[in-house]
Amino acid sequence: MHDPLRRPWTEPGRDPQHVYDAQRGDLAALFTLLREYRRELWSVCFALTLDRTRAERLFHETLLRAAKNLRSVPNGAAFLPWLVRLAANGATSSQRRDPALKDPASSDRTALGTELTAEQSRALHAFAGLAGQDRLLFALAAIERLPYSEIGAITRRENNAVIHELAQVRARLAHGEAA
Amino acid sequence: MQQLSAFIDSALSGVSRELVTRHLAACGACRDKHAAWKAADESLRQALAWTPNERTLEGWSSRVEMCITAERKGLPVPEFTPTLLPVIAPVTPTSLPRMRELLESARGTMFSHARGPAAAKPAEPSAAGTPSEAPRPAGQAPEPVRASAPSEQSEPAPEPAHDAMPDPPVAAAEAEAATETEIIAEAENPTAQAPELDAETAAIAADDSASPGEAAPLFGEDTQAEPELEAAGVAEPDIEDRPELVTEPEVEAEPEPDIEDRPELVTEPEEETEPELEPRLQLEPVFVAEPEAPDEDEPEIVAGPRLQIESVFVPEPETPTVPVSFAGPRLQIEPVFVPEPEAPTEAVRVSDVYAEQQTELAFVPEPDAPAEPDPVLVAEPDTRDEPEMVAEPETPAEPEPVLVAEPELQIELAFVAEQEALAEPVPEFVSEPETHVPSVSRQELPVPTPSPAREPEPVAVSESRPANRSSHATDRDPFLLLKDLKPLPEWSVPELAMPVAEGATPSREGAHESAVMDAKQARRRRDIRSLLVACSVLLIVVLTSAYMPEVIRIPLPERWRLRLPRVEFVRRGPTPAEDAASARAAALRLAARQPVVPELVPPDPSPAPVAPRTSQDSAAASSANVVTGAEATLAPAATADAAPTVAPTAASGTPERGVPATPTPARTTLASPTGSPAPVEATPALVPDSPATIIPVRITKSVRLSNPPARKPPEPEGDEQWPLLCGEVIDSEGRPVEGARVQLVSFSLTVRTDRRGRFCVACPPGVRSLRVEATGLRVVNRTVELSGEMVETRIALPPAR
Repeated sequence: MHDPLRRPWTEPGRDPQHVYDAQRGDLAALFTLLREYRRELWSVCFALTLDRTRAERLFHETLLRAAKNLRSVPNGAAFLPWLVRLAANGATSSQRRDPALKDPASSDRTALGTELTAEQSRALHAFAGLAGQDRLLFALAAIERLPYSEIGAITRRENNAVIHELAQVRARLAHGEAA
Repeated sequence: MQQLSAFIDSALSGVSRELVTRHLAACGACRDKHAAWKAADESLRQALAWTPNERTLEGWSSRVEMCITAERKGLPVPEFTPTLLPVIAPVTPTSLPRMRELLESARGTMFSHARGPAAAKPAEPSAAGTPSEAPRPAGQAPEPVRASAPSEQSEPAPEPAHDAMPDPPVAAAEAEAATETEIIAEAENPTAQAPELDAETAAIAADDSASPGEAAPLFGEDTQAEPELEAAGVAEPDIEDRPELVTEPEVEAEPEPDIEDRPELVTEPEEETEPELEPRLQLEPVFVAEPEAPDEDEPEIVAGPRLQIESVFVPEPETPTVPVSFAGPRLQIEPVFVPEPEAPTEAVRVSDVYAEQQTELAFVPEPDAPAEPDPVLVAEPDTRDEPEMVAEPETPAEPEPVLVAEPELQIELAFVAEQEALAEPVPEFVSEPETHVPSVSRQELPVPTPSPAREPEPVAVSESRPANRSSHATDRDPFLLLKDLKPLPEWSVPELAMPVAEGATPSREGAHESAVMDAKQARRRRDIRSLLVACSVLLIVVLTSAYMPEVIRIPLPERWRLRLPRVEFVRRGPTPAEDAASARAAALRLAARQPVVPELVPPDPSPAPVAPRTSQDSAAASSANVVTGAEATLAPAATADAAPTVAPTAASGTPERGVPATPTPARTTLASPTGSPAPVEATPALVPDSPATIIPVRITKSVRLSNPPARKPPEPEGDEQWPLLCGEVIDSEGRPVEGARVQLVSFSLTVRTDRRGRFCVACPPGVRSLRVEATGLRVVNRTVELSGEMVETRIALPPAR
């Protein structure tokens, strides 16, 4: 859950310095980066996969991939949006490799590890039917409660596009729930 | 919908939020939608609210850091993900009993390890790959089962989805004892590993003891599971010794780097991704044919193709003359060499070499293979089709069927065509108007159907060949045969085409060509017609140019300032001096023209440049006017500075404003190039039909500001304190009026009533006037005083007269 006291996701903070150091081989700086955003990354991974095991795998792979592709972090930018995009791409790629991951039936209470009410189960089933991008958008807006400006910066969309797509995602969710 | 979504996300503020709030109060459908969306948000938020505790997160981070550290230091990367990516390998029914036996033995060994006496050091794994006796200290769990058997195993063992951990507390204790330094140390010294079971045992153990659903989660929240992972990381330092099939998933299952490593979000295709697997499955023969060099760089080789490859390695006893591992390719090659009873000596030699090296070929990857010519290369299917293989020099009796027969066929074809062409009288073909001989080209030779008389020749030639040769020859593409033919001489082409055109009715090509010709003629006729029209128009223009008026007036809208360049027709021949004189005369004529409708500037109260008072000034001004007017067409930019306020007429000498200039010709002066005015008399007879006079005027714009409006009393910022004005609109019978228009006059805010005739609008407090109108009812104006939080009103609309 988004902590309002926490600095915004898109605020660079000391990320550029850490990234700079890590790009030059400073493992401590790299680990600092990876540790700092692990909770946010987990939330995104969990929302993208709807499964603890898959989320863990995605989490692990994303961090490893981040360490490998650190040179592509934009200069002076915050690290977390880049990391989130990396995770989203990883989830998309996993779903491409294994289309069964898109199956809404795979997201049940055992995968989530919690007992779900009927309403939650319906909502989750409808949510699992969404595309990865829509899941990410909804997770950032409704679960992480990020402002639209940050969502736009993370997903590289305009604010209006974020508003429009979120409304469509919600409509699709309601439709899926009703179905 | 978007506003509602933004409203749920608390992204609206101010008036937008207020409007949505009011709309929700009035609209039931939107209220329901809002409630549903909000409930879905809340449900998902609760369902996905689970986050691991700090310890779990720390474990994950440590694991990642271990991997990164090992990778940076060049050490074997500890494997954590493979356990999450189980490799599914084919298990044949015949191997199941043996695997079960191995499983039982492995179980017995493991439990005996766990409960057995303590031992200082683990024993070395047995050479045969069977489960070895690995004494361990008390309370220490055995090393997890690893599918690290050597690759000589015939059956690829599936990697266990979850390690077989008989005693979680023991594993936890072991995991606590394991540190990162130990991991690295063990990775550097693979010989000090714990005993490992062979691949089959691991597969069975994974299959029987730990089903995916029942196994302890690898990265789960359970604290007992994490030490197992630590142990798994410790026990898995030696990746290179693992069978290739087991290690490949981690390498090849690397997600598409171009997609995942991109920081940009990649849009997800709907269903197009699935066909990607199809061509890869079709590529299986490539992998099968070269098993010793698998393509490890293939990015997306999933378990499917690899499993197919494995199945090829299984020896198949029902293949009689085939070596063990290369059964497929050699079976395909054999029929090429074997059926020839009089096979050449070289073929025999190839077979001998082939037979001699069968045993070696079964295990080709051996680096110390003999340096002799590799029979596999000789027996490559690609080289089989080469003509050199068939046309061996040791076969004098049998001439090469393809190479020899084709020229004969070609010669016969050419000869027959020539004979037929010579036998028929040529003039008849020429006199035929329908035949278009030149359209037949040499490339069309195989396409036209030969006449029945000519048909037997190629067939007869092919039938005369031996059976095996004919099959070999007919397998080839007939176009290939014709490609090998020598090109026919140019003169033979028309003769070949003539009978075809003559034998049949006017062909499709002839009809097409005639149509093309007709189209060409029609186009030519059109062109000629258009050329004639153009010439006639041009002639008319030239002839009538002498009768055209000097000036053609085209009325244009006032605001349309069309700027057309002035076109002058200049005769050739005059000297530059004559040119200057004619230009001066033209300028004079232009300056003396009469204005059409001069628009004068209304009296300007603002101080304007004073008009010249004296006669000299007046003359100078007039000269300036004239100069300006004359130059206006030549240099418009120069007129702005020199233009005086009014255009004085020469006759009166006083400026007249608001009155159109009289048609009396003006006395104009023309500024000489040196600057001194040169008076020139302009006679009226010279300008009878020149109505245009350019009167330079200055247009000044002044903006007069009115008094500042009286300030309104400041209204409260934001609409939080605004009272709500709600009400109900009914008709004379008391029924609610739906869709009535309620307008706040002073605020220019309009709302409409709902089904119940209700409306709700927020506006600053004070006395506000409402205007309510509805179809079929009279308009009602009502004044309402707004105060407090909410004001309720009821408005009845009388029926219209």
